[in-house]
Amino acid sequence: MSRVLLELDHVSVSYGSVPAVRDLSLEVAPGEVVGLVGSNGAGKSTTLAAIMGVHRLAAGDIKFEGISIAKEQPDAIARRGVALVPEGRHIYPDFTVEDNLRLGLLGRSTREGADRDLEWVRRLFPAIADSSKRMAGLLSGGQQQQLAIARALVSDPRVLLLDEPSLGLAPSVVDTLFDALAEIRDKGVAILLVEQRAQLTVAFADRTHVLRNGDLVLTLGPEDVVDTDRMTQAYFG
Amino acid sequence: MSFVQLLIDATALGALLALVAMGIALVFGVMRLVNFAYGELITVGAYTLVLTKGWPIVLRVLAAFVVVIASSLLMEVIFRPLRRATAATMLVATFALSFLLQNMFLFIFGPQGETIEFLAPLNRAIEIGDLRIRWITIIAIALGAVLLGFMSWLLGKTSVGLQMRAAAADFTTARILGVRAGRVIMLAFVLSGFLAAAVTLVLAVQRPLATPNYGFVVLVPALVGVVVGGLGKLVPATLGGFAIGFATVVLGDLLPSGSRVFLNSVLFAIVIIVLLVRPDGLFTGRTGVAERV
Repeated sequence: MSRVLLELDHVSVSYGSVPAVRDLSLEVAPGEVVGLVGSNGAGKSTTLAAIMGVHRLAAGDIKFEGISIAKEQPDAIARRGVALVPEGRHIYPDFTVEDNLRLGLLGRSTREGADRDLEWVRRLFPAIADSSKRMAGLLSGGQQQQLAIARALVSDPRVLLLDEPSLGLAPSVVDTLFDALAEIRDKGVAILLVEQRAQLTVAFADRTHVLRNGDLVLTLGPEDVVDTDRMTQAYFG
Repeated sequence: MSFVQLLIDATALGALLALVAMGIALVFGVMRLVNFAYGELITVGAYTLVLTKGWPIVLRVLAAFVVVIASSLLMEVIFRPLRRATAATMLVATFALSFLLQNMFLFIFGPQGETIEFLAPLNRAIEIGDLRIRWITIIAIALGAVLLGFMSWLLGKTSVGLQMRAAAADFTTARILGVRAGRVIMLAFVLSGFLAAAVTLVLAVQRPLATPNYGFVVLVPALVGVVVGGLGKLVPATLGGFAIGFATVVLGDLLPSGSRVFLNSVLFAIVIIVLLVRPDGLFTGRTGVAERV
């Protein structure tokens, strides 16, 4: 097994002629949490979408377990063990909670262990277990976010890409969410976490990269959370 | 015409157009492609029956299914380069294919039409009291019920159905989750081809003269039904197809005999009013718009 699980090597992504991410390099090792913060339009979501194969690269390469996935389709990347929880959750509101979870199983390379993982996410997010027959659109915002994460987790990912999981959630719900993320990390799933809440992210992640206008401008460790100057830079990109 | 008679005839045409509407909506769901050439699949089926005259019935039915499903898959290959194209580009492309095929049929088979000679005795009626019901009417209703039941089982209860529904509701998210896009799109074309073949068999009995626009004349009302019902979702679109078929027969009966030529005018006037009042479709719920992303 490669020491690096996910590697972005001088990645650039453009929307037409407008560059969204420029020459970005970063690595995620197995079981590691890497944060990505920055203001709106900094290129955070684009980076995650590019890893997932939704956006094509203008330059550079993305490797997963040492193999280039830059030209692969999203469904193939999912089956390799990469799972994205997109911004805005993108659960299926007109499907039952159960069906949303069943869709997550499609990303597995094997059915083996599926029941165990389903059991685990139901324990991790009890609210979901209690409403498996309900339409997902009827869940609260926090529960929908939990469902989106649970759906990604049942695909048995090696790395979880999270795009603004705390967006629009009440502070107490955010705390619950980060408790769950800690448990996910402890199970050995690597996490690449895109967030607006810089302080929370810097404290939680093994290291946090700050993006500004598509450039990586700064990398912070958990110890920097008490460094006001560096944190200010993290907030304002 | 008695009320029950009217109801039965209206249901029969409704069932047929519901199948066509579902065929259109299946492909639209996964590709956002309104396939104007869908009617030509029915025409291909009709000409297949023409060319297999004299074969045993079972073989002719089998040939129709094989040729129509294969043609549907061929259309998938033709439209493949357009997957990332705009909706307008795809629409124009399917229009072009439709007219190309119609003119090819015209070139090969001529404008007069070819007799299909397929199970004509099914046009005989059974009489119950003052009701006269043709066998093919009963078959059309039964076939519609069975196929719609089968499709709702397939889409609602199976894993592949769940994948198709997910792809139809939010294609990008479905792919992120691991839904194989190519496979789901191909399956949609197979199923829609299967439905077109089934429709062909019923139509071949009811309208035994194959002409170059044989399927196109069925496609147009079905497509209107799809739009009236709600383009983005399968069940509303299918119900829309049924509604148009049903309304056509009922209106035909209500209009005085001298005014039947205005049937389509009245029907489309109602369609326009429906779309003005409910632009998202008659049978779509509250979330209809949000899902059509």
